[in-house]
Amino acid sequence: MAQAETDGETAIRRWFRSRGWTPLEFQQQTWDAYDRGGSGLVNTPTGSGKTLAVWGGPLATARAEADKPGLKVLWITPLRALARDTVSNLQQAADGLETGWRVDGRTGDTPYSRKNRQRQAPPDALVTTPESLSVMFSYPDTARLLSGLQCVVVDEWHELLGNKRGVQLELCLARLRHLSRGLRIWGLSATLSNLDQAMEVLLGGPGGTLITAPTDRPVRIRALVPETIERFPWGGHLGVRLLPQVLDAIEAAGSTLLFTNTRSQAELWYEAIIAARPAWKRSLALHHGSVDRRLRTDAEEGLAAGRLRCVVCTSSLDLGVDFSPVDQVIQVGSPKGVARLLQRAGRSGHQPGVESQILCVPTHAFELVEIAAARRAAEAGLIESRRPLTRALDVLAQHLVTLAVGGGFEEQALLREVRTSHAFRDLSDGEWRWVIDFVSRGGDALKAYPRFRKIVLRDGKWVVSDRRIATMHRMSIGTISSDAAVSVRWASGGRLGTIEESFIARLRPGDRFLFAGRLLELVRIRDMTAWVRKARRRSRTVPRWQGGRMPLSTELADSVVALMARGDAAPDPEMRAVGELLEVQARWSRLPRSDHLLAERIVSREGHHLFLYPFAGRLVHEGLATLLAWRIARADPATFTLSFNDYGLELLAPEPFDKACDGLETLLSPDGLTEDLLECMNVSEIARRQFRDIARVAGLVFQGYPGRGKSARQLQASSGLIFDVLLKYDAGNLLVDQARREVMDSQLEIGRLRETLERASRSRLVLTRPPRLTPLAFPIWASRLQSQVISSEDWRVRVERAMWALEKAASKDIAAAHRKAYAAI
Amino acid sequence: MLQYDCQGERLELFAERAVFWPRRRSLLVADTHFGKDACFRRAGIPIPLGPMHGDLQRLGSLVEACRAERVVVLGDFVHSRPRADDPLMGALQDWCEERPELEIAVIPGNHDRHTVGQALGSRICWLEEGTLEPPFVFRHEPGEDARGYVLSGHVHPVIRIKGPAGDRLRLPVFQFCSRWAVLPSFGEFTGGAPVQPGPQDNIIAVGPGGLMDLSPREPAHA
Repeated sequence: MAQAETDGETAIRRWFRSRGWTPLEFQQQTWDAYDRGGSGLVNTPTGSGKTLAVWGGPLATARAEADKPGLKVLWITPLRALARDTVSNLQQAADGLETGWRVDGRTGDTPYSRKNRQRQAPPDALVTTPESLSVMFSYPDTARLLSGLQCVVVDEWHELLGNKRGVQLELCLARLRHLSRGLRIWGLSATLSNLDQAMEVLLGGPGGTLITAPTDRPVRIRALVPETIERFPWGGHLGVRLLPQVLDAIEAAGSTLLFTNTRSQAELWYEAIIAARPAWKRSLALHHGSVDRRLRTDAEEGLAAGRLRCVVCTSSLDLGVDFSPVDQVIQVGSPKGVARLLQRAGRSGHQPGVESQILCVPTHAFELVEIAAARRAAEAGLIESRRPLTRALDVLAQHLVTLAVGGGFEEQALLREVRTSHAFRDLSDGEWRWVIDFVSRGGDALKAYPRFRKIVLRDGKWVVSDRRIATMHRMSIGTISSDAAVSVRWASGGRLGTIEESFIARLRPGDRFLFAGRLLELVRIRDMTAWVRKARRRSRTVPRWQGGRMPLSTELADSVVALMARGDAAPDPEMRAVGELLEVQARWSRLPRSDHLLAERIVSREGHHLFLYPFAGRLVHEGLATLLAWRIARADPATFTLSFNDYGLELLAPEPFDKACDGLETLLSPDGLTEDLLECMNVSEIARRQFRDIARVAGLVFQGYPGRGKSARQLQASSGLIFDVLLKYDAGNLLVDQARREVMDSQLEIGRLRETLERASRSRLVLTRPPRLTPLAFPIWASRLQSQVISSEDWRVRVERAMWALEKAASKDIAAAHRKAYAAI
Repeated sequence: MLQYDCQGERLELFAERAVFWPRRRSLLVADTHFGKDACFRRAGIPIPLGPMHGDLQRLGSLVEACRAERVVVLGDFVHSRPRADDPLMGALQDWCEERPELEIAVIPGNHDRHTVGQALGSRICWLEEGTLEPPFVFRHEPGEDARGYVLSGHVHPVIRIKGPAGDRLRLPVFQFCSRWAVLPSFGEFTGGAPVQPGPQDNIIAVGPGGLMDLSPREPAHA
């Protein structure tokens, strides 16, 4: 092996020196590994030179080899928002090393003319997203374009691992490995506890080099602790009560990133800050995934140029880029995970050696405990893992049609190729057969889908011959990452961004809402566009977007329980602040403990409540609540409303269910868990809801052509309706099966659910009867908006009870009573 | 089955989402949307054939149970103009042949306004929107008509009921207002739109296997 430094490496050192940098050890290791022809994964926190670590290799090769035209490097980034920054960053380095290389970008935002130019005269390196890469595969000339590919870099791999976009990328990588022998694949990832597995999933097998940069940059996690707790809301609401302290913090720093967990919260905080400090309007920006690209770009550029004092954002800016140092990071609400908290903290203080800081703003009292718990977990090195997703047949179906549109595929060859990916390593022949049937005939049930032909066999290859279907498919390729999106535009024409259809569908012309930091009034909706104008009066309606609702991780939850059990004996300042609250909880009921399972029975005017606190995260609690309610209702007719949050769950019934509560231990048994969950999924809405995503990805629901109202209207059907029809008329439909599987695995986290039940059976069950809602119960009760209903009673009984309750509660005014009964939610 | 007196006429409401008018021996349904599944399949969205057969069978059973002499469809009989080779054409023809004496009358709706004429075969008789058969007026979309009480569809009405302790239900309904009535959509592969009934409206909810009168205090009449 050649030890002498190549010309390329000398050039890199020279360039580094010219900028006053010294190559770090992990960068050198990566360049060496690349030079040997290897693939691998580089694990470093943000802003530590990771880009140059993986870019250096290809650039060194560029200098060594004669100028070969064509695309040599693909750089995959999960968010379109990052692509522009990345392109300029990479181009700078390529120019600095005098490679003569041209770097370009291609995302959903790229204008058509530019995409066309890229196909005629390809750049040397292309920055793109997983979706855009898929769209590229839907064009027949892409194979030629990519035949000279040397390297694929996947940035922020931890963000893609474990969800369907990652699976989509895995399939594309399998294709790239097939198209270009000797392809080198390099991933960049934040810290996870399963990095070796993450690398294997990315590379499609073992044999990669894992390079970790030492993180000696300390992280300081602080919380804004309110002075008095009794005036502090217990429920999970906005917490804008701490606004004065937040404003002080923003004022004190040069530049701040204010992270919120959801887009709605970002909108509300942006508005709250502007209302309190109108003079800051020009130096404040809002950045989240639904805001229009131009506005996002303004925010990104403003931050880089130092023009902005604060950007209110969600995870769209979570994925750091190497530059744009920020002085301060503020996190509103619990980050729900240690890894996420550290990633966000890493956006501050980018100079080497300077400590990273994050200021956490609790939005309810117990988030103070979560913040303290996160600090302890971070100190103990308890970082979460991200489990890869397997057997997502809807993604495979989409991929098959993509390849069929883009020149066609040969069945056996593609099956071999697909099986080289981690996600479909164990794909059975039967499942493959089913997916082929699904996209060619609609399903394997003979005669069930007449006249349906999406892909057809021609000369031994599967292709799409219908141009309309090809066009529809290209438009739907991005559906994995987004819901049906309605474009929001000024009546005069300018674009503001996109809003999910489920929100806008509920509004009527004249309704006001907050979006992109502005108060808007809906003028009208036509096709997939909502036309708006500036609203005059105030309104607090904020769109509720899907997503951004991660459950509390196991690592953090365990840390929270341990802290709570100590009560006010814990020295953390956050714990002292909630001391009184914990004291109330202990007095009326009990404090949670790691070896106990706490249950509370409460009777109120609403009905009879059972609260349970496993501290296993929101998703497990949803499954557990459904399971419990179903097991109880199986024995005797009953109707339950279910609510849950990260700490626990609630069962609420109009009648008492003492017998069940007395037999709680049996109801929590892990025996028969799988069978019972499958059964109760049929009764509950869970599988139907999960099917929404699958229907969209697999092409069962069509978003519609923008601007072509009529034909889109004919194809309108909710995924719930389709689910019902499939359930009844195509029992063997594997997508319905996938919905159930996904509910079990990811939606309900069945592994974690089983562990929770097993732990419960080993713990002591403590049942208390508090006189009213306790501090732990209150937030669950207040989260009623997410609740579901499970019932084994006859629908007539339930309707009668509703009517009777109404008559009891109604005033003399019958009209008002009826309005209440039939109120649309 | 629920008996309902409307404008002096005895009507029979069925949980299978149909209304029988004994005096004219007519079975009324609305929004069958036949061919919607085929429409999706043509666009590359695999919806199975099942709903079409299911709907036809349900309609046939109702005709038999009531010994109806005529079926009146209050609009959106077909979802879009069917092709000649659509399975719907054959199935419809067979269905009609099995009932040679049955009259089939259709009011055009917004989905099948352009399908009138011989497109669906000679057995289908297309009526005018707003056909008067005293005391009723047949229309697709609800609305007032000075000549009589309107029977219509188009809305696919559904109500949402909130019960105590957070209970929630969603049910299709027959909605009887003071000047018109709206039938629930008949087709299985059709969605529903929530309605907010007025305080004087009579509401008959459709649930699994039965009906429930949710009208205000007075006995069922309009």
